[in-house]
Amino acid sequence: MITLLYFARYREALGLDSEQFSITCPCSVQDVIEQLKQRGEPWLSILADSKLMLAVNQTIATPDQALTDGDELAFFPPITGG
Amino acid sequence: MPSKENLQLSQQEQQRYLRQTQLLSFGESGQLKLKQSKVLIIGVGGLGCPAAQYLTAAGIGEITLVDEDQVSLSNLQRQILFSESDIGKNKAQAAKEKLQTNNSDIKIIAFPHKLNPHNAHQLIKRSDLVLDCTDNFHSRYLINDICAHYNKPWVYASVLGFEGQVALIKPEHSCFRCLYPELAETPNCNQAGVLGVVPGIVGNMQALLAIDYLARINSNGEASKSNKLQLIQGLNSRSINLFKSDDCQLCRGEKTYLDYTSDYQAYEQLIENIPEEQKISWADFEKFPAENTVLIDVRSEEEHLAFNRGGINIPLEELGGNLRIEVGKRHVFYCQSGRRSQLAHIKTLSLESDSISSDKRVYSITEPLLSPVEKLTSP
Repeated sequence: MITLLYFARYREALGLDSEQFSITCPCSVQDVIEQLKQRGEPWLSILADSKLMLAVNQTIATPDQALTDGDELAFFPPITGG
Repeated sequence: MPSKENLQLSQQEQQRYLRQTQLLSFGESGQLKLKQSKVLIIGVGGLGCPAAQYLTAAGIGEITLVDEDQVSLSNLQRQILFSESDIGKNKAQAAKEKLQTNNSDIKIIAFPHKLNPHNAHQLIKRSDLVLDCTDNFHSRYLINDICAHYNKPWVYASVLGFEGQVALIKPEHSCFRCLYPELAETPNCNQAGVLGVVPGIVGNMQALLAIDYLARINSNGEASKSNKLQLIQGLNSRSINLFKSDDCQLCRGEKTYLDYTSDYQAYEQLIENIPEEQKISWADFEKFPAENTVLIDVRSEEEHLAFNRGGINIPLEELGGNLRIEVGKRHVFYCQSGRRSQLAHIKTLSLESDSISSDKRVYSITEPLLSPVEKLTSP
């Protein structure tokens, strides 16, 4: 099990700020993204967003990063207001 | 070099700052460091107002406020430094007057102009710390690039809706381009809304980071070896460790602020030359007769496929010989934020004869395009 966190407009679009997600190791961030995309909208739009940022265990990450049980994967976009 | 009067606190200052000098980790030495510090606040809006209020009250020796905008009624919901009687006044000037009434012991400078590559150098070079309280990525990249050049730390912050982001960026650890490498054209508060208290909280976090850094309190324990991005979501937050990106040309030394600022300056100058009536909204576009109008999406193919509002797709960088200006037809460019559409506009005019522009047949939509995700969440 890993924890998924959704921030800002992703959270609003999903109406969800976190969820538990079951993985089978070996598993990368990209694998989780592909599985989430299979849920259809609004995951598809969110995960296709070219501005999507990723953090694994509170450290900035790239899609090729490997995940293990208990990890936390956060999805967040840049925001620009001030 | 601190002047003689900056080496000690006056009796009045000892009294004024007593509640913070009482703190063991701050003390009189922390107060003196604040007194000797120069802070540059760029943008005196939702973030800049609260940050400036607390930094003024805390006794920063010199604060410079940069903003070319005027106070408007729709600002008052979150920029609570301002009153109804300030509407129409320049924000930097109005803020300076208000702030100085709280603390006459410090120096406050109002700079009522837009930040540009030239003044950014002058302003940043003489500051100890820069607060990014702007509402756009152009300004943030400019601040980043010049701060990297002078190795000045700066505090990035942004807000939208119920969310905020804030980070103290020390150029030696990583830079803003490492985090957000491309111009992220996303809606700002004017387009997508913000709950007033959110910039209040985030602006105060900027002030706290500033005081922590300048007084060397190190409230985070040992001096951090990486920059940290705080993601604030309502009452929850997450701290994300940031690292230098292998692809960051600025941190790799392959590019300098000059490479980026020349683009910026050229762009600013060129878009000023586009007549106002050729910068249109989506509503204006809808009024054009469809049979005489060619709509062109100048974003990348990937962006076009993900979401579009019709028309043909010619990415900005490919625009050139493959676009034939058809006589008697209107040509309308669109993109995500309005930036690339205006660049396409300029590029097309430079490729075509003068008759095109005088004929007013080229337009750019300067209004942001909201993706399905953004549409779902905008008010």
